[in-house]
Amino acid sequence: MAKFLAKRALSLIFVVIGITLIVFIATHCLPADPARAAAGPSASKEQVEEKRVELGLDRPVYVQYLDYMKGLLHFDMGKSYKSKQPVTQEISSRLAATMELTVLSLIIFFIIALLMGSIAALKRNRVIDHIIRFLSVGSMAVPPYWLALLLQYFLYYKAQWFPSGYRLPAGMAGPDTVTGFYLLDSAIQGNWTLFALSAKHLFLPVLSLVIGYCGITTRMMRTQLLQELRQDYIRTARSKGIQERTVIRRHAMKNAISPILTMLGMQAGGMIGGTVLIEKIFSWPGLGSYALEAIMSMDLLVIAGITTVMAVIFILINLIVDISYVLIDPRVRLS
Amino acid sequence: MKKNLKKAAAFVVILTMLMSLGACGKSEDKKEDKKDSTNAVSDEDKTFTAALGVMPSNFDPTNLVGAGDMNASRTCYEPLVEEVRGTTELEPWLAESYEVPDAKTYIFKLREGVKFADGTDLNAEAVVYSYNRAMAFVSSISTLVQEIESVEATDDMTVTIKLKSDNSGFLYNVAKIGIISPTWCKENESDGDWAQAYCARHSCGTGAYQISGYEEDQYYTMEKFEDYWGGWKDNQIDTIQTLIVKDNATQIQMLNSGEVDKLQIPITENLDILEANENIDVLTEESLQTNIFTFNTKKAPFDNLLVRQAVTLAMDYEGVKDNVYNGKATVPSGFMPAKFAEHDDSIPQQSQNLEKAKELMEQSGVGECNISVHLCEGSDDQVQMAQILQANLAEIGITLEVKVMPWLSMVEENSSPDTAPELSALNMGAFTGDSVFFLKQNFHSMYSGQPYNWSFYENPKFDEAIDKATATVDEKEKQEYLNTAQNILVDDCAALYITSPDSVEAINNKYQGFKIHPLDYYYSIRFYQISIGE
Repeated sequence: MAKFLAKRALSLIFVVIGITLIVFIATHCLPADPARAAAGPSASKEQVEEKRVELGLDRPVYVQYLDYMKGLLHFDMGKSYKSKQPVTQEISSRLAATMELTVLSLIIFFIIALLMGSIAALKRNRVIDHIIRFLSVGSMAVPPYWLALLLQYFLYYKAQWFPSGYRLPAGMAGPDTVTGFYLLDSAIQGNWTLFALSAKHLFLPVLSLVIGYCGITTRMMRTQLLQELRQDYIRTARSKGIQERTVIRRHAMKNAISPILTMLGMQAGGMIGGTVLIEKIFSWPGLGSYALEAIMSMDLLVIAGITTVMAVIFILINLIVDISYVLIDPRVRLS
Repeated sequence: MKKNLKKAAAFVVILTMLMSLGACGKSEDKKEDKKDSTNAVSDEDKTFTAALGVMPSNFDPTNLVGAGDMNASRTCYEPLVEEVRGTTELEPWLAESYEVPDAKTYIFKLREGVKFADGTDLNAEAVVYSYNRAMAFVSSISTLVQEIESVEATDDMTVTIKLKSDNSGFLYNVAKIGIISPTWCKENESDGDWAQAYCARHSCGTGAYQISGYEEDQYYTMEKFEDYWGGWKDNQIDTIQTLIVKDNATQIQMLNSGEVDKLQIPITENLDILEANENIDVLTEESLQTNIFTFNTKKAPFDNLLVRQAVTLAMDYEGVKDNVYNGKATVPSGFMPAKFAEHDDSIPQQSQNLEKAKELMEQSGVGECNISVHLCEGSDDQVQMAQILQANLAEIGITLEVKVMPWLSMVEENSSPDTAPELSALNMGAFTGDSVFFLKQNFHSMYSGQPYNWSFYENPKFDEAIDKATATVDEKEKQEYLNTAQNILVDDCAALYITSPDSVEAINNKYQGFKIHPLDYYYSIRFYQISIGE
């Protein structure tokens, strides 16, 4: 295990170097000038050049890159051209918001998908199976952002059951930061009023993501489980007189879950980067919309910072998935 | 297995119930939550809640990056002279009077008894510091102070600003320079940065409201400054809560449900929904904006005046007004919006004449051709205008390709006539009330290839008229030069002047006194003028 983790840590360094290098080169190739963006739309050519020098953008790209990497060693990602604030600080608060939203959605949709997929497989061709299949196809067909708009319209605007968005009501301070997840932090501090409010604000965006992502995993779980149930070893287990629920739980489901985990890893990465529209609709102060604004305004160091953080998260998610294979299936060896 | 499935189902149900804990029955989120909050304000009516599409990246009066930044900084910081709301006129503000002996010298006598939020007094030294700070680093207001030669404190309460060259419109620039507390700035400086990093998220001006809190991308709050020099009445707002709502549809829903009191988005759709709500006032005013497509006058076919004239006559202006802006727009007569007092009313409105356009195309000898128009990402109105033009141009043998791209890419490609497309879309709103500068930055040869002379228009007669209008302090003379300049732009078809959209804003009608301000791209709101009830 230690060897495996060391290998992954080493690959992480190479990925970060590669990703940041690509970001630096790509942003310099774009037909848009970060110095112009920082100087303001009506700045003269001279003022733009002055800004370029001030931001260090007049130096060769490799010098800027090495400077950035030097800072990265101390977790210093520089300062945003726009807000003048440290990029690390700007990213951390937004990352926590995005992670809370996606992690909670992932946990809930994974449980629901496993549950529904298994029920559909075990009750194959019965009414419940048809209903679940119908819902799964519906979930795959409906884009999460459209669902978000509908949910917001009916549950906020019409029924007034849930807030329009945000992590908490405006003006209300969040819990003291331990993990950055409001639900967890308020629970740790025993502030149940804040916990309930956080949950209420999370409900609609999480529901949009859960419904939007649940369908495909449910379908896959159903297919995998049906496939496993047809295998010889299941027949052998049954003929040995092992109880049906043991056969399904200990043998069929364990094997069916492995490919689902692989897909979950990919979905998690996609979800973290792909919640832009959900964040926009629910005014969720996450990383997605912040990244979009940074790209539109060519805030170079923020773009590089976000890309680096996303790359690290992606690798960590895949690491967790790899480790979970071992925990679920003892035949798998990390080496 | 069944038992396990039941267990799992029970877990999901419990989790869902937990999530909906606070959601039983009708939620009165705003009221309830404010009671729970430690930072809450008890008197709800005294809290004005506004929606804004983007979190200001800066509260600094100097480092204004996006238009949204003005929303906070114009409230917290005040200039020496101020724009009268709803007009381009100026009135004395932190300066109780001013003199303009010539177009190079401006003398301001400061108002007595004005305090900064840190308790220090406004004096000439503070004004000099604020202007030096504005000139010290490049920012989006650098162009407004670049002509300053010196700023001096003549005595404790008098400031003299001298310019490098004549500019009779400089007072309009003065209205954009907020005065900041030098004591507070110096205390919060870091590595000689003029406190730029600190000012980005804090405020200390003389304004009626000052920043009291914020959560990135969620909200920021401004509380009333008790010692404000204008004094306070009981029916004024105590707190301004600005919520960051990035989605337009959500903003409209929030206004309709009473969660916010004012929107900050261009409203062209859903007007009927807002107008049907008896708690909402929908206000409409003529704007200081002209939406244009610039002709690349250095590139074929628009280096040919006849082709520019043909395209000008082919455009369906009424179609744009009715279909793109639901009738809430004015067909322009030239580039300068009619709301400017200096607009030449003798210039006729643009109108469509396809037969004449076809004739002109024939005369030009250009024949059938392909051109492209580049539009700014996120501007739906530009797309619709381009689609109408596309259909119109097809009638005179021109094929128009429409391309949408990021704003910064448009800026980059329009830096040279070789890389610029034949047409570029610009929604030109007035930032200052200076009509001379409005014409100058779009068509003076000194701005060719820079924002915003994307027509690469160079005409010595136009330059001369603008330069003379800039230099003179005689109002009548200035008007004559401006009339000449406006007519030259129309005769030369320097751009396709398509429409002047009205400004439409919606506000909860329990608040009175709000006026649509046509400058600062509508982001500058004088909350001090707003009162609760009649």
